[in-house]
Amino acid sequence: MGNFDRKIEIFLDYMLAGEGYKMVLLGLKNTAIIAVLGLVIGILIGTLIAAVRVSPKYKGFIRFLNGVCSVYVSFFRGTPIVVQLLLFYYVLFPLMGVNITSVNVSVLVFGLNSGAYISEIMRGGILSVDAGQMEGGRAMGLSFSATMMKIVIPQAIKNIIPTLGNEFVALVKETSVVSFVGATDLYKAFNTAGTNSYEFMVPYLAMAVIYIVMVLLISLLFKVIEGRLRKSDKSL
Amino acid sequence: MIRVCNLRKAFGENVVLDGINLEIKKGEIVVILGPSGSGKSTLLRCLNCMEDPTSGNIFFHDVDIADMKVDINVHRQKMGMVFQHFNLFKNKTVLQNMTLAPVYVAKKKARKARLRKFFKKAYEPADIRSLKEINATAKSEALELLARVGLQDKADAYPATLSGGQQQRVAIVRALCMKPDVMLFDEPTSALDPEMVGEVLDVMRSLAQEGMTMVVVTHEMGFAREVASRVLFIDEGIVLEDGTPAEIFDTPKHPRLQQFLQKIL
Repeated sequence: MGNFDRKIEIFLDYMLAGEGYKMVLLGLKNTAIIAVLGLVIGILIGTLIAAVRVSPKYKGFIRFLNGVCSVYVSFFRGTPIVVQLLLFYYVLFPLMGVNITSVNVSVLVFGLNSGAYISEIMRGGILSVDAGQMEGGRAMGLSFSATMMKIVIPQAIKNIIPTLGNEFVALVKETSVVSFVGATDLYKAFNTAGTNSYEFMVPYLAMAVIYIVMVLLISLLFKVIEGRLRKSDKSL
Repeated sequence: MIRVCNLRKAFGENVVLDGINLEIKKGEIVVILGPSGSGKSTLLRCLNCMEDPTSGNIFFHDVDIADMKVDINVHRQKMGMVFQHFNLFKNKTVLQNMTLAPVYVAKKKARKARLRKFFKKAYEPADIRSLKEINATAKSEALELLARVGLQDKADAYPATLSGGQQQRVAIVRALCMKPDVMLFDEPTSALDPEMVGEVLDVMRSLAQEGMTMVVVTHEMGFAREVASRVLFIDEGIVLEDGTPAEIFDTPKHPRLQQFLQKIL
């Protein structure tokens, strides 16, 4: 394995002596920003869409919103995220004449994209809450939206935390495509390291390890959150 | 207080209520009896529009609440409802369960009053209370009610940690927190273990003694005979007999009612 030792040496030299580690840190930061903000935006959008989709459809306005939401969901679930990134970065924003950085575009697209997936997750979560909870709230004279916000959605979120964790993991891994629009993420950083040192084996190996560590940490985090939220379910 | 005119309710082809006419006066305790599938629960749920009637009118304080244009939430705040499966909010403690709706309603009122004051410069001191006052009042009233049903030490417990009987008692006082004009009970003891039925019926009995208007769907014949001021017998969506407990239980006229009583007594 003398060859491999040599490769590690080249990699470490490049990382420590050159600008390599700075780029990796930047990539790590961007990956984290895109994934975390993407998830936050996704949860907000997803909750809104899910709320519209489970609302009673007496009123024309709700029915209209419902139509808008299903178009939205089918667009974001029906096209690859790379295509969405390219569309937003090279078509939509130039057409609108807006100047926007590639990281910001990535945050937006990942947020919109995960919003579509999370809306389906949330919808399932809301439907899994006992219908009696909604009845209980409505019978007290609370409106549909108040009951939804105070009673049903908090319980739905508790039900979907494990699935939401999955979504977050998927989000972190999918960020590896943002270099399509020129954003510096983990992949880009290690790819550059490989290109500059003519040695790809160790950089890509290191990249894989970092992704795995991140995913494991996230899984752990969600386990802790889930445990805390289960507090009200525990019987004495 | 409640007047039901020609109420019909159908789920698709299935007609559950077929022209119900009914008047419930203040202070009456009306027990609704009937075989399963007779529409008694549906009738009760129509009274506060938990089920929207297919046709007909329901007047509550002379407002037709079956009209879709009426803000049903305002009227429901004055109609307490107790369910077979309690329907306590699982993510809230007992105390939070009880204060949630009163605080929400009071906050909304205060906000409206403040807006009105701002725009019209009208001063309406009675309506404007600070959030702190609202919370404190709701809490003290809730604790008082909890003490009445002997559950003051459970104020901070989650519903899942209580027994069925305790949960149903909390559900009753939760509805009382809104100071309702009428209480609707939808088979309040049917999901309980036999030994817990008594404690819930005791609470209902004391409520009746205080003069609360009550509409109760139940299978507890003893309770009906003892507490009710009026008993309705419903089958196939029609009120077949309507009278005092003595008339219903001792001298039933309709053959369907005689048959029903024979089976259960």
